[in-house]
Amino acid sequence: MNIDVDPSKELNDEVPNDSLTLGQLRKIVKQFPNKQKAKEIAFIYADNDNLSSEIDEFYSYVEISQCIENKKAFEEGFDESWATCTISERRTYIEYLLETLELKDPDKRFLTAKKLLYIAQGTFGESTSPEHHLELIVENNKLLRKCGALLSYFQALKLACRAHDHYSRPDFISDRQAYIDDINTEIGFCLTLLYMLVEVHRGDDSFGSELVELDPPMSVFLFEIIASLREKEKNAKGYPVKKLLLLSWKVVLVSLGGSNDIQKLKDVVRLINGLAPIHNKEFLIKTTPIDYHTFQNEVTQKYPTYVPPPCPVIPMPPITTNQFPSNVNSNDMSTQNSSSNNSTTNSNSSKSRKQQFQTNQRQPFIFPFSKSTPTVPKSIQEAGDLYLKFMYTSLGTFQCWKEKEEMKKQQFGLTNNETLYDEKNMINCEKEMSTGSDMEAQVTKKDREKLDRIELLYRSILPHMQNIVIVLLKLLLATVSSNPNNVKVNDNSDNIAKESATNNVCSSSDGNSDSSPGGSSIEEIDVTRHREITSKAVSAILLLMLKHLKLSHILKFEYVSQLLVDSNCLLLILKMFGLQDVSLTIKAKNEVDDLNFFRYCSNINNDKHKSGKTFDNNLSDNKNINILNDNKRMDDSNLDDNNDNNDAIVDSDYCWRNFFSAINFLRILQKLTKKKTHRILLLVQYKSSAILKRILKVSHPLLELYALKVLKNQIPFIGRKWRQSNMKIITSIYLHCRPDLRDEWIASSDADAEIEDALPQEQNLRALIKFYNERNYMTRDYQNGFLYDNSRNSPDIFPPYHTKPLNYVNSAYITDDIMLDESFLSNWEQWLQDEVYSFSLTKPHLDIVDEYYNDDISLAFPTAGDGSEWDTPITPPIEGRDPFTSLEWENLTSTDIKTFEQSFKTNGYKLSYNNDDIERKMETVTLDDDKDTTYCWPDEILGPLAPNEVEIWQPTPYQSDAED
Amino acid sequence: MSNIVPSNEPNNTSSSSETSISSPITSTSTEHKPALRRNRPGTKLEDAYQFPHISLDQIDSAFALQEYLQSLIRANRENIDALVELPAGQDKETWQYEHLRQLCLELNYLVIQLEAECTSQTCPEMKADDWQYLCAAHQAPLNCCAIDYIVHTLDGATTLLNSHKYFPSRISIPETSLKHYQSIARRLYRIFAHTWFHHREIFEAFENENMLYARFLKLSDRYELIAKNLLIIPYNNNINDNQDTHNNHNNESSEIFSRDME
Repeated sequence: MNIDVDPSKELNDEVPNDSLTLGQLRKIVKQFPNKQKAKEIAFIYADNDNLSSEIDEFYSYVEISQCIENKKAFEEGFDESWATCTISERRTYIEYLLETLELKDPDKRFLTAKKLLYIAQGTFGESTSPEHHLELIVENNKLLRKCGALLSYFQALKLACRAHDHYSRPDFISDRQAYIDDINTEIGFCLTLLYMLVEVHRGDDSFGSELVELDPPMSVFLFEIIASLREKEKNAKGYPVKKLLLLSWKVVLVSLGGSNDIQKLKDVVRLINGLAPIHNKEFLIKTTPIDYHTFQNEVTQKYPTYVPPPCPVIPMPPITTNQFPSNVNSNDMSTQNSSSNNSTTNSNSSKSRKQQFQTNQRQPFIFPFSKSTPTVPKSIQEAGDLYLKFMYTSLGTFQCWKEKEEMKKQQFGLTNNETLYDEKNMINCEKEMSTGSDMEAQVTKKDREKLDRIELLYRSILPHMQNIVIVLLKLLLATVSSNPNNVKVNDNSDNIAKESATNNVCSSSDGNSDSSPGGSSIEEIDVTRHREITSKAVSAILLLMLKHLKLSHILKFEYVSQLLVDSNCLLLILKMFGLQDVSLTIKAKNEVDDLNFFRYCSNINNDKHKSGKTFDNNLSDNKNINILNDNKRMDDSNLDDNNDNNDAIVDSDYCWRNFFSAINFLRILQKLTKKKTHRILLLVQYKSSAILKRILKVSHPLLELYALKVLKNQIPFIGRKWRQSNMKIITSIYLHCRPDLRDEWIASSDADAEIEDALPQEQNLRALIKFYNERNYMTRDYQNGFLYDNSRNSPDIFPPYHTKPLNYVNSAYITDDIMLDESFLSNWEQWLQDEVYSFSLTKPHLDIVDEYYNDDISLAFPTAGDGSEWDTPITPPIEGRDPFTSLEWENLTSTDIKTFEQSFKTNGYKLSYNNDDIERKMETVTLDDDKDTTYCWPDEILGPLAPNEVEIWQPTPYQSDAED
Repeated sequence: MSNIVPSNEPNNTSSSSETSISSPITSTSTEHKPALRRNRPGTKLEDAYQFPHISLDQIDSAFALQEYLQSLIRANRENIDALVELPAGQDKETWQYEHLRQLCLELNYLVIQLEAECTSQTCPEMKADDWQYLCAAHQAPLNCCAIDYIVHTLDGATTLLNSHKYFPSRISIPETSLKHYQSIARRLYRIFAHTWFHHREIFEAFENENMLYARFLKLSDRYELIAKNLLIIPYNNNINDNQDTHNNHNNESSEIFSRDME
């Protein structure tokens, strides 16, 4: 029993003198003047930046000169002034352009696209100021929408993308690159047009549904393009990836909603699932059903007479998601059931040394029994009540539990009507459900529609999910790896940016003459800016996707996070943070003001008579900047006013996009690792604490909070020395992260058990994900997708439990008998393909098995993966130790199967995951990246990082803090 | 007429009129015969569709509006204004929808005429005047000959109009689907344009008989389906400015700017 956080003030009138409550600590901290704290940065996290900077960022500096061409093209085709035209005249012209967008001649199409672009970009030739320009953009795009531009754009994009597919096919030989360049340009046009349209209508719900009603829905289509980039890698040169990413992000944002919508929908989903809505949003302390269960187990062991009150909603924790220690030797039926999958890892041997010299804490303690006394100490009962009082059943836990039940039903061959557990629980549950169904009336049609959209998106992109993840991560990797001196560049460009800010004349002349010494730096800035924007888009897409999927169903979320983890996302993010100094990057200004879209356009206006290629800095320009800057200042000062009661001086000098992506990445880290010991151990191993510590230098509450959260997860597994030397961090975790009622992060009571439990936990989770996906999404629609078609008679050596009657032979294949490795279980098809079918010309025939399952071996397997398919094993079978090679497939007998089974039991596949190894690493960390001591990544892994790139993070020169 | 049919109000709930398919049978018990407007099997061609024209609210059918439109056309296909004019109490949207459906139906007759003359040899590309179109019906961009293009376009439009997703009901049209009218109309227009420019005789013969293009033009004019400058067939008083079309010829070669991926 370990409640190290005071659960509630009302229950604790008298506080013992030797401990501090959280409230007291906060007061004390407040009393100290925090001089060491840097100025707080006035960044406010939101789903996106304001419209004008989002538009600015869409255009990179190399292509900004296109604007002039667009203008020229438009003016050649349209003599009158756009502003003085009537609406119907404008409509007529737009419709004419949209029609010509479908012409066959690419040159004509290009010209039309340019004219449309000029309109979509706000006919800036007629704007008077940047503000007016923005208004024009909004106005024109609204008109474009009314004219049905969305359909035409989308049609054009579809055609262009198909053409791109066509040209990048390997059998297309003649002059490929020229074709592809043309097509890339066209795709770029379409993406730009769409982006302007989408960006202007951001937040417009009806436009969101228009996007969804396209065929296919826009978000699905864009994700499919992203996925297809993986195969077309060689031909991806020149592909407007940044635009694609930005557009996908915005489309998801518009069609599925941003974080506000997610917050709203969360309650709705809880209602649908029959959970009470979150009553008190400022619920300070929570317990989960899992915590309560652990508590029950512990207490009932010690006090067998204690009858804990039943847990509402979920009678039993879903083992896969929790840290429920499997070596609790419970006398409770239900735990035995639920931990049956873990039974192999149950062991009595894992007593730590400490325990040998202490009285066994687990020994039952019979309370002196008499009628006058209660059966257990009052404190125990109070603890139980407290648990119930602060019980919070999260949607994820609930959904996971339900899915687990479903899985068990299948394993035991029960039909839907039968139940596994005693009626009481189910009644309990049904009561909850029935109240839920009453509430379902409150769920509006709109909410349902939104949830359906998420479902539709997941369903459609599921076969491509692996590719999408890999492409996104690869793009992210490209933003970090190519320049090892990233930080240096940032510094440089920072200076340059400052220079250009102070000295406009200089920078603007630099911007347009490549021969001048400054010319190269403009290019550099552009490249860095491009990278920053790409990484911003990727981070936003990933985070948004995770959030939405979590809303829809926890296992959808878990599937994507599993893919991310398998593709080395954790390492990649840490690497990114490791290579840059966050406190610098969030202030880096990789901008050339004169080349930003709005500035550039107004410059064109002011230099109408000149050739547009060169421009002077005249006074009006300066005015314009000033206006822009003033606006910014105004915003900032508003913020200041809002935070008046905060004495801290705020620092308004920051880079929105870098700040945004830094927070996003931290949140992704947290989402991927939360409550997943296996992944937390990876973080520990990558020595993420040093990296996260550096992030804490930045003074911003949200950034700090997420960094601290990620740190908090790891603290039980980091060495004691680290904890001793980093008490500051521990204090701030204590201050800033919301505690749970049962929160053992400072000194986990049983870290060893948790480490031991990490792998089975991860494996169970994967099994559950697989079960969920197969149950819900493996239908006829996905024949050429990621899985083989279930409806046909596929080779099925390990059939679903319920399909066939048991008998002597195939009983050998019930997994309860053979302890096959989880990763093998989920990948046996792949394995068969790689190890068996690929070696023999005549396909081996399992006669005996055949009889029972009517195998259709001639059926084509899904094309062999390169080891990066969605279900690739973490560790591929090890050469030489493969027990299957000893089998004679030609004449297999049942005894053979027995021996094979036996050999599997003894030297079956295991993840090469060694507890001693980890422990050693935790205690004696050396910084060599010798292959033996690093985590064993299989060679053909998975994910964007080539093996030689997978390194343990190494300290960069400016990293000063001594670790451990 | 002794028919006691409730007047067909707009947005009369879909369920009631959708399920009223069985009502003609009940009405046979009354002496009201003409309500059953069917071509019985074995009806000779000259006897087919010989129903008297009745007003909309007398038609007792799930597809009253369509029957009414067809009846109007049979009555006098030359009175285009009357054909296109919105019947009292009807939705503008549903009326356009029925017209577009009818247009697709009747365009098929034009295709039959074209098939004899317009082949992949004579017209290897879909052209109308100087405008040349890309067929949108394929996975990879494909050079469809004109007749294929026409058939594909017609199929596409028919599929779209019959799509349950966009047009789930014929009584009320979801607002989000309205944007399809324009694109359907624009595409169908290309069929007329091609016929006019390259198969003038067929066009004129067909037009004399059916007045379909005139009706289409009127419809598009009345409901603003196609922008005026897109009507490239010089016809009647519809003089268009082809200025922009010609401008398209002398365009400079486009540059390639995009360099998004390293």
